[in-house]
Amino acid sequence: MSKLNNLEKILPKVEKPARYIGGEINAVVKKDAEIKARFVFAFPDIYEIGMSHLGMQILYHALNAENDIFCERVFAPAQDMESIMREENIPLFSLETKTPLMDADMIGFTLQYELSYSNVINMLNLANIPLMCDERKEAFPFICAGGPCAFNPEPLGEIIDFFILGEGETVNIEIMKRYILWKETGRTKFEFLKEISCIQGVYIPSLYKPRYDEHMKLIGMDKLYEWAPEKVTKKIEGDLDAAFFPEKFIVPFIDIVHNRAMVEILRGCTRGCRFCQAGVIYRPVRERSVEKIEEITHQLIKNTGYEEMSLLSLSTSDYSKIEPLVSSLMEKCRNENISLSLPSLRLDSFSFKVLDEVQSVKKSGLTFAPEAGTQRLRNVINKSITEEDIFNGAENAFKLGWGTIKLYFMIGLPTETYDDLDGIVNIAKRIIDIYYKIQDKKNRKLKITISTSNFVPKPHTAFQWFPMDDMETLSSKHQYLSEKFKKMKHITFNYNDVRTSFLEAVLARGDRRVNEVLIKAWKSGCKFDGWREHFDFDKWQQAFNDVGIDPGVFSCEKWDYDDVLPWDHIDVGVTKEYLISENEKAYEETFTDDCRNGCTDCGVNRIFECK
Amino acid sequence: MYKYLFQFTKTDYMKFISHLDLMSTFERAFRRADIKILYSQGFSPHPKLSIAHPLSVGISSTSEYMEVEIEERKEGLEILSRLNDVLPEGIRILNCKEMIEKKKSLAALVEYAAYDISFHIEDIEQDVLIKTIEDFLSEIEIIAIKKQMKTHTIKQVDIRPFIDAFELTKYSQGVATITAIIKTGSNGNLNPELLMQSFIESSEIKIDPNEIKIMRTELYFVKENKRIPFSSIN
Repeated sequence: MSKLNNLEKILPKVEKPARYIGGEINAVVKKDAEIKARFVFAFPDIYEIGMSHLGMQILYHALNAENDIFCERVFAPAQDMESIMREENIPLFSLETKTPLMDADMIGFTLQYELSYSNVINMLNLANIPLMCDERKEAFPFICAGGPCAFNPEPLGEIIDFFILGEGETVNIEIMKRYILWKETGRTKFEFLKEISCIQGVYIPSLYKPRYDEHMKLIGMDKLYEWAPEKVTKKIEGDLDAAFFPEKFIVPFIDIVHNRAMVEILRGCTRGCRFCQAGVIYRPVRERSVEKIEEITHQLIKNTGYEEMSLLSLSTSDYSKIEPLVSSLMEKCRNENISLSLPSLRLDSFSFKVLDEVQSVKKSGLTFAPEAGTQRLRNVINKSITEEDIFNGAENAFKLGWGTIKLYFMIGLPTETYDDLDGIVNIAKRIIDIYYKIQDKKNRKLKITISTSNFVPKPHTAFQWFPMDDMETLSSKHQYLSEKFKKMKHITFNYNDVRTSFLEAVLARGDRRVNEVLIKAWKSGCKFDGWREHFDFDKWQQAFNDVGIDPGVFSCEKWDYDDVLPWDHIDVGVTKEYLISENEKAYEETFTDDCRNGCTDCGVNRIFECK
Repeated sequence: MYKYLFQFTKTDYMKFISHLDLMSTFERAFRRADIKILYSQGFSPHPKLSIAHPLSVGISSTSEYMEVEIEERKEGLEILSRLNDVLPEGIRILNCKEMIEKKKSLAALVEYAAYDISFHIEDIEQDVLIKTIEDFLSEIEIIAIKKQMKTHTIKQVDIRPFIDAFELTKYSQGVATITAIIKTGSNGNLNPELLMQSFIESSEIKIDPNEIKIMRTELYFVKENKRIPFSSIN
């Protein structure tokens, strides 16, 4: 059954063995004789999470569309599986052919969230691959990484051979083609890296050396070779209709987080929320045509047999032809007994019409994301939703029979005061009042969930210089809100662990010194840091102590505009001048309009075409 | 509405997918094969597709059964080949026939199941093994300890009345195969893993429970006090 003869023996002992068997519908298997290079797409979390990720489905099928390239998958094994693999000396293997990762030509990790970094390290170790670039001799596979977190590559810069910044559909193939040529000529790994260093989107950390002052403050990145690019510019796909999108998805056997077919209708967002990294790194906004989306939908339904179809984007309502698109897809789905889901809808009148139809049977919850409790703070963060939008939306929803509402807020935003926290409470109160006016006493089934996340400054955003609140401050704010909400009916209040957010901030804004900390923390047992039951903050603190770094420098310190940022040599298209002006406008509480209503000069059109 | 009876395999890696996962695998396979199945009316419609008796994760089968209601009448062979084109490796439709006469549901019919249970043993003569099996069966009662998953309690049950057959059918090169026919379904159910656990405990033969391979080979209903295989249902 597989190249690993003891796999079948251990699978009965683990929870959800189907996580490790591969063989799903539309998974690709190629014979050794047909291929010239093997790539393994590695997702540093468990199967159910990794398999829900659209990017994996796109990049997997894009690579496999090339005859001589074989792309396989690997996910982080769950704790029970990992223990048995270590006991039985089973190296981490690919799902498709159960081949040890060591035998791949290239392993590509996707970095979707900072808290998965320790899993990257753990997976390399499970694959018996040395962790540091300079320990991996010629015989080991190349280790690369991409995804949103790669836009600050430095915290993994000594572990990952090269990063792919931006969108991987075509650049991954280009890299693999160059790899095949390189492999045939038998040159050194360094020569391969040198060759791909000129490809747009490829960043090779070993070509640069950070320079620090006597206080270990980063003051520059020195090129170690004349030919290394001054700055690395991200790679994007131009036209989404021309970009690769799979006609089939791998259909898992087991239930996963997002178990459905998805079509990406829109990439990027023009709204310019100042905390949002996705809004910057996916610029400029590009739309897929209605015809193309319909064609993809048709193929996906036919080839996957999925019972649910979902449209995907950062903001579905911003799709310019959303009404005709949704009408056409709803009809198609109704005919085929498939449900259509529309996440990220803004709650205007059209949305209610659609939602009422889509959810005519089941009325699941509605979601609003005001992000901040007062108009003042929403101006600071440039979130365009007003209280009127929220209250009108809630009123409409209640009239149509909804009784479950979810509201998202961020805590610890720049300039936040307790008045802004009170604003959150007031919004909740007003929503309850609205509900009471509409529903008579007999059928009151209101449920409001207030979900808060902690503000974490992210690279390449207008808020990249801002500190996050220190842990005590955040905890007091949580405490304050908990007290207020405890006294209120209908409300569930959720908030994130402050220590987890603190670590997220350190890894997000960290520089190259973080590599050593990561290794130390992993050695002491850290992995699955995003999972509450695994997260061990004391071990992380110990690791920072051992290396002699104050993590607060990265998370809770305000940085100046003149400071060298660890990601200054990465060009996402948006200029630093623009981010500075947006940061200033935040202090002035001034709103910047959606750039579709007029260019706001973010700079992305210096390099890429805005349509 | 047309109702079809399917006989299928669940082997190789497919033995590791659960009953519920198998149901959605079939639902999606029907959609890929462009065969419209019927859905129940109401709040959350579910496909009219039912599998005779769930198979525990880790156990393979050469002979599973399910009934499915389909919108349009089609030749059984056509349905079979269209489904086999889109099913994962390890699940194969062996037979598909229309059920004209509607009796009880398949699930309600199940009374017995046959299993081939194979395991590795060394240094035991065939006669000794046969004698051990006979001794095991000659017990008036065989008390097995059953863990109740839901209540986390332990329950003692006499499984002897549930064993209809338990005999060595093959023994070569250190691999023994026992064929067991045991009570299955809502009128009394014995899990083959529990049966083997009791056998190992009573017999003092060293068998690693993790090395036992179990394959279901048939389901039976009872008519006029006779066991009749599902494969003969019309």
